[in-house]
Amino acid sequence: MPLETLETQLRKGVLEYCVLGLLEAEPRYGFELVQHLGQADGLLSSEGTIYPLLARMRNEGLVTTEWRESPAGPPRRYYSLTAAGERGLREFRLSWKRFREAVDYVIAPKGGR
Amino acid sequence: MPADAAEILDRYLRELESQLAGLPASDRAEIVLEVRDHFEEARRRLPDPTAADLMNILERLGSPQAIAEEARSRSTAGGAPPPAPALATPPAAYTALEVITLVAWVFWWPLAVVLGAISTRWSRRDKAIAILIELVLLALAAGTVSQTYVSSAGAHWAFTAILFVFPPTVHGIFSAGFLAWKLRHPEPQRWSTPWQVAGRAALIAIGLALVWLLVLGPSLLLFLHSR
Repeated sequence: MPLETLETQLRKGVLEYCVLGLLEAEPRYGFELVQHLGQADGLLSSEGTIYPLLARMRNEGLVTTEWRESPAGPPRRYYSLTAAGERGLREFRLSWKRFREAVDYVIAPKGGR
Repeated sequence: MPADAAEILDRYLRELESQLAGLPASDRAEIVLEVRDHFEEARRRLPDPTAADLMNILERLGSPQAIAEEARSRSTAGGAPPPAPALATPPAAYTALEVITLVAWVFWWPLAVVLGAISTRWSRRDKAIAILIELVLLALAAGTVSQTYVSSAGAHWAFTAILFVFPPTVHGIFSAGFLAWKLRHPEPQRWSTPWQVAGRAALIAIGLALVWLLVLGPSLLLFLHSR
């Protein structure tokens, strides 16, 4: 599999949990989430694709939304974690750590001299 | 914003909307609304955006096709629905049930309330507003009649009954009109908390007014006349 395709698929798989991670500390609105994900290189290719993901996560009860006034401009839709979202994030942290360590262990440069 | 940029955004959102065909109406509306808000937010953060800046925002958002593809691949509704043709007509916003409901409002509104309750194309809030419109009309009519003709005891209730219970209940056209409009404009209302509070207060006030106009006022008048 070309590396580029692999990266796309990995990104797609973990994006949801990155969103959960960003929401753990405080509720955020969509644009804010996009900015944070954009700072982490390569996590978001097209910014708009976050919105279908957020809609699905809300349908699944991982996040909940709420309109809040903004200091300037119209109200914003804030996303925050539900109990199910928190649980999902906790479980992902464990399985991500296991996965990363397993892969690191297997692919670690061997031999040397 | 420059006029041509406004048009470009408009075309972008329309394209997105049609690309999202096949998804539940509420998801569709939510995604379009969020993408539009994202655009506005990005625009507000630019000191003096040119048309090129605005195009850049859209470019970063990605193509409507890419967003719709993401939506379909992430859809929880099981198997991916067939992709929308490039020039898709907007998805049907209503079925026979909605049409019959609208007609029922003008024919016999209690039936319309029941049919409306079955429909999923209107939010609970919209259905409540339609019923509220009907009740306000009822209250206005009944209140007016009470004060004009109540000297003949029972005329008030008779008139109200004839007007509002026996078909055709033509006054239901206002509720029907509202619901028809909502079918065309399914976007969720953006009510923030202070507005919700004001909205609830208004509903309570209207409710109290209804009780007065329909029950207490007429009863008082009937009581006074009977003495």
